[in-house]
Amino acid sequence: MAFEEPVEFEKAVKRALRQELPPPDFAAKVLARAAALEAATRAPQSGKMIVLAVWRKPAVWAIAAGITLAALIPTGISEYRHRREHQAREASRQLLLALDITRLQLQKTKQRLQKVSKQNAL
Amino acid sequence: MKNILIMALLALPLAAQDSFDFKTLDKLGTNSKNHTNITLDGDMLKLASGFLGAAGGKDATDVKNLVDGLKGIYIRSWEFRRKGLYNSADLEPLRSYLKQAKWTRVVESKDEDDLSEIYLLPQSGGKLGGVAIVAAEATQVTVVYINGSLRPEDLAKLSGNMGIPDIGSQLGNLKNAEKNTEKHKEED
Repeated sequence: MAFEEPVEFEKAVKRALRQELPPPDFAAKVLARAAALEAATRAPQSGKMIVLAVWRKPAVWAIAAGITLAALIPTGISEYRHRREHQAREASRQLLLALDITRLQLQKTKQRLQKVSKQNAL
Repeated sequence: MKNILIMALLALPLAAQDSFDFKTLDKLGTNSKNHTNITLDGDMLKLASGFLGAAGGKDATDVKNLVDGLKGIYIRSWEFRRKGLYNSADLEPLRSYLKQAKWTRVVESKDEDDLSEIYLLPQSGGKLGGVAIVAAEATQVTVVYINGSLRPEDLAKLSGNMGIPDIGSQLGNLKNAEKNTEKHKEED
């Protein structure tokens, strides 16, 4: 039994070191797998390139600018109109107050003059 | 060229005299308890006149007609708690400005502690180029300065002789105009 063990070991080593030829379609399979992997890694890059190409087009920028302006202009006009209305209302209030003060001062002066002329008449 | 420069230099003080610097009256308000400060220049007057015109009504039209020829309305008024809290000498910058040859003092009325003065700026064609009122009472000082073209009738209207403008109804119209504007906004 002790003599049989090295023989078995020898056989195992021989089996392990035996040259094993690849199957005939091995090279084709490896090349196909490599091509598939490359295609898979390239796919998202090509998509990004398409997006970049779109944004590089001046027409796209013009459309984007147009849409942004179309959204901003009415808001700006409305804000400006609202501010002008507020200013006009405030100016009107001040104008009416100014006219009221002027009228009051003119009336006071008139009353003073009447009082003085009455005193002079007496 | 030299003559033009000299003329321009001579014209500078005259141009400076065209408008009064109201900051020179600031000292008057040092001890005041209340003050009213209204400055309406040409643009603000146009804005106000347009707004009142939109409110409609006869009074609004009268105010609009009155204001159309004006370049500015300036009011400064200070109220004091008791007598002697202001120095009437602080009114001197305005008085000296109004004592210029082109201004004419048409009224000077003194009654105890109260003094009222009305100055007019005559213009060609029977029109006025401005009106200034200086009213110094015991506990109140008011300065009214109206710059721009107006007719003597406008002054009569302003004094309320003809009941125009009726400020109360104008304020009512103003409120209506505000309501209408808000309604329009809601509809939008």
